Amino acid sequence: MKCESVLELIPSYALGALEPSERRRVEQHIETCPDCAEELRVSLTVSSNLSKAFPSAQPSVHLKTALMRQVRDSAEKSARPSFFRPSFRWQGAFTTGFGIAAMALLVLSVFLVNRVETMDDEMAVLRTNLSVSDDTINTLSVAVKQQRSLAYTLAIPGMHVIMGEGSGGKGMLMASEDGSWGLLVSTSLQELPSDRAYQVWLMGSADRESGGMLTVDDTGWGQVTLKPDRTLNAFQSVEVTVEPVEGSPAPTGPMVLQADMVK
Amino acid sequence: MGDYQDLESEALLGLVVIGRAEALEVLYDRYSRPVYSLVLGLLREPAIAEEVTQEVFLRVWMKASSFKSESGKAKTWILSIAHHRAIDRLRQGRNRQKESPLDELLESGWQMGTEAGAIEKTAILQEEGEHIQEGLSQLPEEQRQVLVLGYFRGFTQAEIAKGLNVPLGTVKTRMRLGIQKLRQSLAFMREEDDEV
Repeated sequence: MKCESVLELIPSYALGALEPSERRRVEQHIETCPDCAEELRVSLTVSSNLSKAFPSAQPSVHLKTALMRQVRDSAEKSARPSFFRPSFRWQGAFTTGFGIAAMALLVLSVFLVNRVETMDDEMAVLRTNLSVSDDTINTLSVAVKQQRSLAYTLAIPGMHVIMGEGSGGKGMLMASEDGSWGLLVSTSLQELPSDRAYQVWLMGSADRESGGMLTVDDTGWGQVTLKPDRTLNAFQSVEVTVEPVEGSPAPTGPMVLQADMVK
Repeated sequence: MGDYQDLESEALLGLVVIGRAEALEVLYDRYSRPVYSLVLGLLREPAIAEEVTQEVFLRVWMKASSFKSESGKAKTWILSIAHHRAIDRLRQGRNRQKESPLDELLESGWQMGTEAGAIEKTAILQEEGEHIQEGLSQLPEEQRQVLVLGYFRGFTQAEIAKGLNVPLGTVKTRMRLGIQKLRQSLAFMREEDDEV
């Protein structure tokens, strides 16, 4: 189906005014067409606001119980070693254009999610059975939280992953497909003196925007969520500089990490 | 599940893809109210609306891998599923009656003003409903008519063209222009992440 025909159908799709067969044709097309997908996103945002015209109502509490029973039953039926479980559920996505790299990333994300949840259990055992200082427990808790955040972010369908590096070390930028948010992770930046801090910059062709401060621990690990005023896709690169601890209105210190946005 | 509460809905969908039922539970807690409100508003039967709401979340459970973030926020995606499921059910009911419902609706003296008034009555119950009503009322009547018949009544573009006795292309154009104008007037109502 050509873009022209799909664009013509998108407002009707958003309003629910297509036959199911036409609806499926639109859905199939946007799987591989980012321009039409963007048009659909805009139209769906408008139409979803129309739903607020209806009075707010709450379903009965029994509905949630019945739903979750059905969901857990279906999860048990399909239970198998968790590392391999997603392979069949992702089959549809795989046949509609996911590349090998994307599949590898998804498998990695599943591994990470499973791993951090095991770490949670291990932490609970540590906490109850061993005489470990609160500081140690807190340090481990922070590490687990960081790993969890990374694992969950990688598990999101369609995340773009961009590797970055610079004089200070290496990092990774994960950006949502629509560019509305991202997660910047550094893995080997040095800890700074107490009066200095790492600051993230979203660099455009003619301007820049601060992406916030990046706190790095003694292992070199740091992460910050980026929520720019405009889409991340509008920027050319993400850079990290060393600035006074309170942050700067513009970069003044050395650039230690850089990730170029994929165009 | 406590940790999942802090996650963005798009991340929760990622976890649903890998079979985490707890992530779906959090999504249900966030969106069961807007989903049920939409479905009930369209179908007007609480028992059927609950059945459809359950179908919607089962579909989220089974089809989370088809969510694409460039098509909108998680909430927009879930509401779109809910709207489509509800109007499919609405159409099934009509097909069983073997009538030409739009012809009947128009012959019975249905007026846009009446429909807009009915929407207004319900819309003002919502905090943002007033803005929606205002946005709808600013549309030229022919555009408002096709939006209401499509979104709130579940008629297809072909049925609307036949019922109004205008070419299909005209209905498509009116829908496109209507959406564009609503987009401008509702521009301040951004996509929402979560509704707790």
